[in-house]
Amino acid sequence: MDDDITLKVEHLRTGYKGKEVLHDISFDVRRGEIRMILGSSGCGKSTLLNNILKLIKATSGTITYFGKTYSAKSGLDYVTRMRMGVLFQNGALLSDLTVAENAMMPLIRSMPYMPRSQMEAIVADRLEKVHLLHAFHKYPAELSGGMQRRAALARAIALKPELLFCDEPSTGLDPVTARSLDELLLELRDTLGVSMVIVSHELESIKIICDRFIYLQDGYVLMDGTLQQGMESELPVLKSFFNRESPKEIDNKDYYHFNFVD
Amino acid sequence: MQSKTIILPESLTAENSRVLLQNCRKALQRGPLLLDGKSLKYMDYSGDAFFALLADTSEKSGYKLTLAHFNDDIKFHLQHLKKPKIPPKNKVNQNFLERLGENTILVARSVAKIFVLLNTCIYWSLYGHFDKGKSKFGGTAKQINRLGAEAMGICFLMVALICFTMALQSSFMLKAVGGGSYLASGLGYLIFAEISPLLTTIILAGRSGSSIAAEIANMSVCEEVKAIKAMAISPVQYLVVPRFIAMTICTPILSFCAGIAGCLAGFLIAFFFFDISFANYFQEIRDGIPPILFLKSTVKAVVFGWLITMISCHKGLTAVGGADAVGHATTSSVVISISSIIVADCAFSFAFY
Ligand SMILES: Nc1ncnc2c1ncn2[C@@H]1O[C@H](COP(=O)(O)OP(=O)(O)O)[C@@H](O)[C@H]1O
Ligand SMILES: [Mg+2]
Repeated sequence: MDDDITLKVEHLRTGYKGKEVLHDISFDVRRGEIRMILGSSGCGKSTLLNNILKLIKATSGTITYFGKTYSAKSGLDYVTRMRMGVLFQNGALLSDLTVAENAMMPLIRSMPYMPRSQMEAIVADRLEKVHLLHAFHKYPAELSGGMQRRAALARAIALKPELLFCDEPSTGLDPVTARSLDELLLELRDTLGVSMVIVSHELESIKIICDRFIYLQDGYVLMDGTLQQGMESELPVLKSFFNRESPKEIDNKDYYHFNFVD
Repeated sequence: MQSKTIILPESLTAENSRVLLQNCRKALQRGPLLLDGKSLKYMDYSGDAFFALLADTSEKSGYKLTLAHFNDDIKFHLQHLKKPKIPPKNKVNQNFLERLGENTILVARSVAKIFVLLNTCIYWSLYGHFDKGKSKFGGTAKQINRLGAEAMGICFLMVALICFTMALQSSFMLKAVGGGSYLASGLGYLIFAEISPLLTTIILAGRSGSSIAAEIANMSVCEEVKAIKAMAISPVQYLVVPRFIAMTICTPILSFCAGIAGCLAGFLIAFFFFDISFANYFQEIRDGIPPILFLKSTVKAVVFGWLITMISCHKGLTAVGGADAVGHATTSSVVISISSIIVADCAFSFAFY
């Protein structure tokens, strides 16, 4: 087993009741790289993340975390979960807890003995990292969307994870906030050495943070490569994705045929 | 067959196309139709739908639709009118037996899940709660306050009012047969055996059960439960157990206190109608109730409280979808808890007979 690979997904096949969404997905994530999952909306990116996190069960395939292989049906053990952090699409902060208490949850889970003051110090450090220390005592409902996303990021990195998953971290944010979030992710990668799996379709942030990517289409991996390879790809979908060319008009022959006479 | 001719107006808009469309479709169902567009100069978005629908009608009825004397702009526009492909609804056709079977399995599974949930809760509240190595998130005190303490007023008031009414109703009859001295003992027995546990838990199901279901369902829908799972925290431990402990503590206490409130309300009747003194009234209640009844009443209240908690939490945790799922989880949790409380009460009256 290559020691450099933190996550390896092999032949993953999954879907929802009566409808298979992903047919055969394989890819790997190297230590300290930002691996992006691209694809049009509704193609199953969130489904893939949920599967990797074992929040929904796969039909078949294996996933290897930090060199330990799990089959489709098995759940994830506690130690492995603790080494991973997740930022959900809309933050998913617990609304009855303050920002600090939210960020403290993983600490309480993994270190029940730790005194509260020490946890608060750790949380303060993480909130500082996401520039949100001033919201320490605030409730999620009192924060804007971008701030919630950053608070959720603080929670995701509370335990210094080795692998961080982000579902559309910058979608729906204004460009300035989105860029600062990108900067933040890069900074985290550089200071903590986290490997990241990031779902996004914001071209701007892809160009800034992407190391390697996979492009999902129709439940398969259409392309797996570096950002450079993607930008130079001749595949029509990728060409239009990276904005080099507008998508070709699909020649749909289904017109109405009227009989005209003069 | 001679084709019918309809002359189109100068402009075809949402206002005038409706009646025209009806006439044209009727004509097309009977025979071929010729639309004369020599004066047609303008049409808005409804024009597209007008011609599209006519084309569909013509296809269905088999009669020919001819468009005559259209100007080039509109002709060009119509020639490039696309047929929208609406995907078919993949409706599953199930017959009655299949549906019955599926629903039976669904219900059986839910019941099994609720028992597993109860089992897990008992484990966590007994073993897990006292194990020093396990992480504790607290929240039980808050739940006791929200689910129990805040429901105190309404529970006491309702039980007192109903007991008052009952005492009043029975006082007429007792007066007629001269049995005023039986009021206290009869009322006391009925209150602690039946009314206070049943009524308190029904009110709790509507008030606290619905709040549990709505809150947890909203968390399931908003990915919060997923986030809890992703942090390796058991949603049962974090969400269900504090509520379970709170309800286990609160229901019997509430039920007992509501019973006392009911007795006090009954005392008003005893005092004003039969001139029974306070001391006598409570002495008679005490004499009329075997001590074991309080134990039975407590057991009943605890079991009903568990029913409420387990059903509401199960409904909340299994909610999927959007706001409608939250509403549905709340409604069905209240309906199912109240019905199962009443069924369980029936079973108890046989068991404790
Ligand atoms: N809970 C669900 N039940 C059934 N189908 C779902 C569910 N969630 C998502 N889907 C379907 O799965 C597909 C992929 O969804 P998703 O992974 O959310 O896409 P995205 O790439 O935009 O994140 C979509 O076609 C969607 O209709
Ligand atoms: Mg998504």
